[in-house]
Amino acid sequence: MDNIEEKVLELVGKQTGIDPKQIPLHRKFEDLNLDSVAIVELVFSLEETFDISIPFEGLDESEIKKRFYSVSTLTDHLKDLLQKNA
Amino acid sequence: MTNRVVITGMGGVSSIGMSVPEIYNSLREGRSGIDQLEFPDITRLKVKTGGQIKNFDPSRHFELKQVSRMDRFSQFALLAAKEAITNSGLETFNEGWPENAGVILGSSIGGIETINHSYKQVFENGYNRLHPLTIPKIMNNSATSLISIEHNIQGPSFTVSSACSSANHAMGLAYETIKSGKSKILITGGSESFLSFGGIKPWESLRVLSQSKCRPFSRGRDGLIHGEGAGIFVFESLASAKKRKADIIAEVVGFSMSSDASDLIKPNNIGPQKALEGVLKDAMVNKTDVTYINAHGTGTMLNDKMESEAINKVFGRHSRSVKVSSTKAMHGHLIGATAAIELLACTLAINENVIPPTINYLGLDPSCDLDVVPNYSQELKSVDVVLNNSFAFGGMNAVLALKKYLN
Repeated sequence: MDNIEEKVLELVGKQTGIDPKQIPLHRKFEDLNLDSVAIVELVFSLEETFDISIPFEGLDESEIKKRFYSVSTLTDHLKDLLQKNA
Repeated sequence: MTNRVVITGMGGVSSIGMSVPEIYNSLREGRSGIDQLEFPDITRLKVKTGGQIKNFDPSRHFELKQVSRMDRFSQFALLAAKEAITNSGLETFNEGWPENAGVILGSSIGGIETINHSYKQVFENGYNRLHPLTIPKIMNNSATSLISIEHNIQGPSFTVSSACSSANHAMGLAYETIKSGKSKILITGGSESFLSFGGIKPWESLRVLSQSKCRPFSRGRDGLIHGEGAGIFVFESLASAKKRKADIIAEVVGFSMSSDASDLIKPNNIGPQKALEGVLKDAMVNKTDVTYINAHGTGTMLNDKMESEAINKVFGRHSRSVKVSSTKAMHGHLIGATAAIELLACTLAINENVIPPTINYLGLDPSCDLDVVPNYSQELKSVDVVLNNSFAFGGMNAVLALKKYLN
């Protein structure tokens, strides 16, 4: 597991109250009891942690569903953004 | 034809107790909940004491994801509402509950803890955006909405804001709505928490905060002390309460409102007199029927003098016999919620014949020549009519009258 994935798990753990070690990487956020507001809160926390802007408003519904679906998809999306900003 | 209105459920959270039984104990014993305040930036305040609900951990009462989505004042309201509704027995009743019931609460400032935190984030910490639910957390009606959502209450619901009279106005409107037949069951009361740096700082400039203790009506009094919390009641038509064989706590028999029309801060005694005269008329009782008045009694020089004058003018010789206490000395001034916590003092008087005291009383101020039940509660043989006074900034006056329920 890399640092970014670890951080995403840590923040998802804080949101859900679930031990990060118990969070499946591909489980959809909905099944972890993360609703749309919780996902926005998660995005804000990630932006502060990585000092990066993660576009969210104005995105297509299908794009949101694709990128902010699970720990795995969110980590991949975050890595893309960090690489683009590097 | 008008309907009789009764109270069938009560809930309360405050610095003197986190339930009605705890609050009742404190009121009987004259126990103060005023202590050193604990929140960020407290060192920048001149006044550092208040009636704070210490060690309040919302995660013990609400789901984790809910905690960050509610201001403190909403959390208090939900807890008090849960106690009131549970104790009312309504959860097993299905005629008009919850679909036709409503929620009418008072709160003067709503989510000021969220406002304080959000401004700090933006101005001090350089954040460029805020929590997505900042607005729903701040809005005055958020406590009302959350109670309605939690209990699936789908009838008339809104929040009243009139400074220190907010809860009395809310409860008065609830009483009038049921009396008129428009509703049968209303959840009502108030909730407030000013206790943050941004909430308290502006009060310093008003020069109404006590630098020592809150001493309503006493010589040497020097101002008010803030408190926080919520008081929530189930007001119900007598017919509905009887139909479901509910325990009836008290009857609400009158309500009156008036405005001073004079100053945003300084009270006059004409408006309060009108409200007191009005409630006696509305309740169709004589002044000699009034056993106890829970005063507005903030502990400021002006309010207590004005209120004493108004009570003396309206009650005449009977003002020598009526008990008048201010429980704000114990729980603090809860501003928009204060009349609701104080209504608990009224129901204590009605149900147990115990008049809660005005604590911290040092001695007579001739301009406040009333029986203020100094320092220790008093048990009477009987308690008839009880009044709950609120005389707010901006000259907004509201008085509610309760009586023991007699079949």
